[in-house]
Amino acid sequence: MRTTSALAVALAAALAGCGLNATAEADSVCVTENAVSAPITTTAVVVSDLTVPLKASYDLGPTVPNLQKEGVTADLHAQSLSLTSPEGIDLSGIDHFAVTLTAAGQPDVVFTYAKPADATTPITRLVATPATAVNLVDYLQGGRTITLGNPRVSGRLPSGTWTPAVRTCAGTKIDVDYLKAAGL
Amino acid sequence: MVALLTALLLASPPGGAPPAPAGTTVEGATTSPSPQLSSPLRGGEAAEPVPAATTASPIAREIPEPRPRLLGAQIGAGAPQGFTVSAVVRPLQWVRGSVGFAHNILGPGVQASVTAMPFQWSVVPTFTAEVGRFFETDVSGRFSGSFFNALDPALQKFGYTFYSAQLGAEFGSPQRFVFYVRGGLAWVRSGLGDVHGYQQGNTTVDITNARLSATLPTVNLGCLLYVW
Repeated sequence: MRTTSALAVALAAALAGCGLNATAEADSVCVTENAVSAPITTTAVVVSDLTVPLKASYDLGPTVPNLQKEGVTADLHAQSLSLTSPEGIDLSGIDHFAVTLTAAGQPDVVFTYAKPADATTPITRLVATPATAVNLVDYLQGGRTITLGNPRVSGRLPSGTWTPAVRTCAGTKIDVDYLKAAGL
Repeated sequence: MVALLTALLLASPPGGAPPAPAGTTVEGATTSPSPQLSSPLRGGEAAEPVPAATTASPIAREIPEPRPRLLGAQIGAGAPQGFTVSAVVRPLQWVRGSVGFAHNILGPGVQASVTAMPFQWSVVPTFTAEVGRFFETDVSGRFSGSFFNALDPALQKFGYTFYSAQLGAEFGSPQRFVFYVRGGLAWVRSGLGDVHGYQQGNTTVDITNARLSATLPTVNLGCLLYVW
């Protein structure tokens, strides 16, 4: 009897230490806005720190649990942001661009691109990456929307009419502790 | 305590039964169906003193101990195990294993378990370790709209593996039919795989190596019948 009690207590302690949780993960989730804006026409002029009036919003949808709720630990680890043109326009003139995200009214430069010194033309895709680890949850607005906005561009703009497309990738890990989420 | 154990050991010889005093009947002899051993009782004759060392052992060997039934069948229900039908084998009195089929309403699977029953009481405490696998099934229609829509393609191949550790209790006859109730924790893992080019309006979604895991409470009940 004593052995059974000891075994039960040991198992109960072990099980209690495990916690009750659910985790959803993905190595990467990439969302491509195929046409961030209507087709634009640019001429091959050299610009310095030009703010382009483009915005891309990602709505996580009502079915995704509130990622900022007690008991929910969410990591949307920013991986990359790519700027492309479905028309295949040459973007090799662009030397630098930066994309900001806004947290609590404060814009932060999260993704930056610098043209590699050994880049060859044409370049049809510019890939910007975060300089430091960035959790996109910190930039959620209304608990479900992330807005990328107003990229700043330096270099020579492409010549022609094209449709900017933005592809944003993030590694995801969302963990829900049932007991904490239930307020227990 | 040591002295007490020593005294008990000295008082009980290895054969188990105390030596029969002269002029009495050996206890085993009065209950044995063997005719030659019961003959001293016929006609009211006095029983001959019988040396215990030569008679107790053969008699004890002749009394067959009930052999534990080796094989059985089991049905159960629980979460995340679903409904199960299993074959049971009990190679030892205190341990048994099961292998069987399962269905969780969403799809079929297989499961196996090992249960330890360290004590043979009227209510038997048990410890069970279990593993199971539910095969990939299209559940997108059932859960469409419940999750991020881009996961719908992944839900077309939804399956999961689970492991559980459970404490339980069994009621009934350990030789024939028992009913069991178990509870514990289950660890569930599901690989949802990849989603390529999911189109929603003007947006395309690609997901690489999506997976779900959870630690859940589990409750499981059922019954088993030993048949042979």
